[in-house]
Amino acid sequence: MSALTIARKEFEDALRSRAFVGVTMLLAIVLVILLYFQLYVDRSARLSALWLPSSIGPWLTEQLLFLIPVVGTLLGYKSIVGERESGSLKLLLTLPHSRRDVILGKFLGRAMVMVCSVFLAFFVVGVQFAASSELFSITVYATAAVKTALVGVTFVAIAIAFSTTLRSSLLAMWGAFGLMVLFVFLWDSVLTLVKSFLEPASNDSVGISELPEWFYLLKRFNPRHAFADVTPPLYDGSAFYLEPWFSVVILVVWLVVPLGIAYLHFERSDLA
Amino acid sequence: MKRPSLWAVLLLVGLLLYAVVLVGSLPAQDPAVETQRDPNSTAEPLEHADATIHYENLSPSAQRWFDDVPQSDNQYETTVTPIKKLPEPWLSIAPPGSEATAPPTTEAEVQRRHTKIQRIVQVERDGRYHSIVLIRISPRPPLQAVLLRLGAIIGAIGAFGFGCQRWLTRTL
Repeated sequence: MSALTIARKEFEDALRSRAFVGVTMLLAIVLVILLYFQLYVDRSARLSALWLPSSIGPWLTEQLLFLIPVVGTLLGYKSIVGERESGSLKLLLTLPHSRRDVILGKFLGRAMVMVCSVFLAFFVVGVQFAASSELFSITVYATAAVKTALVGVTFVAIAIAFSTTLRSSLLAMWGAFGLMVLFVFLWDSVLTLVKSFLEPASNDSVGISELPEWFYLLKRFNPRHAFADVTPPLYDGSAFYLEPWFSVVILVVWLVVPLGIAYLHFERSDLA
Repeated sequence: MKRPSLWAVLLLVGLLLYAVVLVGSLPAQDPAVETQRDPNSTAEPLEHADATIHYENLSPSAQRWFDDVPQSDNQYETTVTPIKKLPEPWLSIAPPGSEATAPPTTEAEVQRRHTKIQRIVQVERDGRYHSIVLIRISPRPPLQAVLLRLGAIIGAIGAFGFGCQRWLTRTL
């Protein structure tokens, strides 16, 4: 109950501080630009008669997931370290809240900001999409919104874990920047390098891969790619960790492990 | 007299812009044919060609149209002609397109439609065979119209956002 009180306060603070409205506006604007580009500007739009409605949702999610790590990290990175620096964390802990309540409440509040922002942005753009294109499918579009929100919540959790373990806002800011670079650029770049050692380049063009299955697990372990099909088109392996349901396991790991480690560290740390 | 609050004005502007885009539509484009000619002619006829035409049998306008088609392997070097403006016999040869107006729902349907929007025609000229690909396309709407619409939606989102923020700041 105590965690919910903190979560509610976090959410209200986000409403007051323009974070909620700002994130929603940013997501809605990027989403509508992506949608218009795909439907009317991109060269492939001339062959839109061949498009499956089920292809639009995953494409939108894939593109939006360049932005989601940035938004998630920015929402979470200062949540605890900021209060620790200002001294308000000590004040918060004099009230009947445990340290676990603080971490959980902060996470729930900021996760709620992310979820509401994503859903609101998808709704505002979705109404326009439905009215202007026959490619709109409510199931596909809603699934894309849910997947985007889940990945966003994961990045909020990672950023809050960072914020809990670090002692200064400056360090947390650099940590957050590092996280963004890691998940948006570095992860894929390192895997591309690994791939060049593991597989001759000629096989890639025909979709037949000689890469070991663990390579795809590593690629998928980036929360950005959790829902993506990372295997080549003609892949016929049967590893359980490449099944669609495993994306939930990956996101749960990213939600629980960083927050768990951060909690253990926070529980033992001196706030002075 | 009490003046209306800024947040109410912003929300109203946002709502109006949003509704204008919702009700309006982009100008419809007539179907067209995108064409490209293989730069390499062959001495033997192609097996997979849908039709063969003799250059000498073409009318002067049809010959001119054929001569003007860009010869390239680059997929971006194509020419787009509205179906209505195609000279005969190109108009009769042009792919008919799919009768279905709703988007396809399966990969098999996509493949079926693909065969209906593309034609490979070879033109025999001086004993050499020149292949030409005709793809029926839906031309993209004018960029100006798209940007105008996009600008209105972004304006609506901005007005909504700033209006909501002012309202939240006053209420909370």
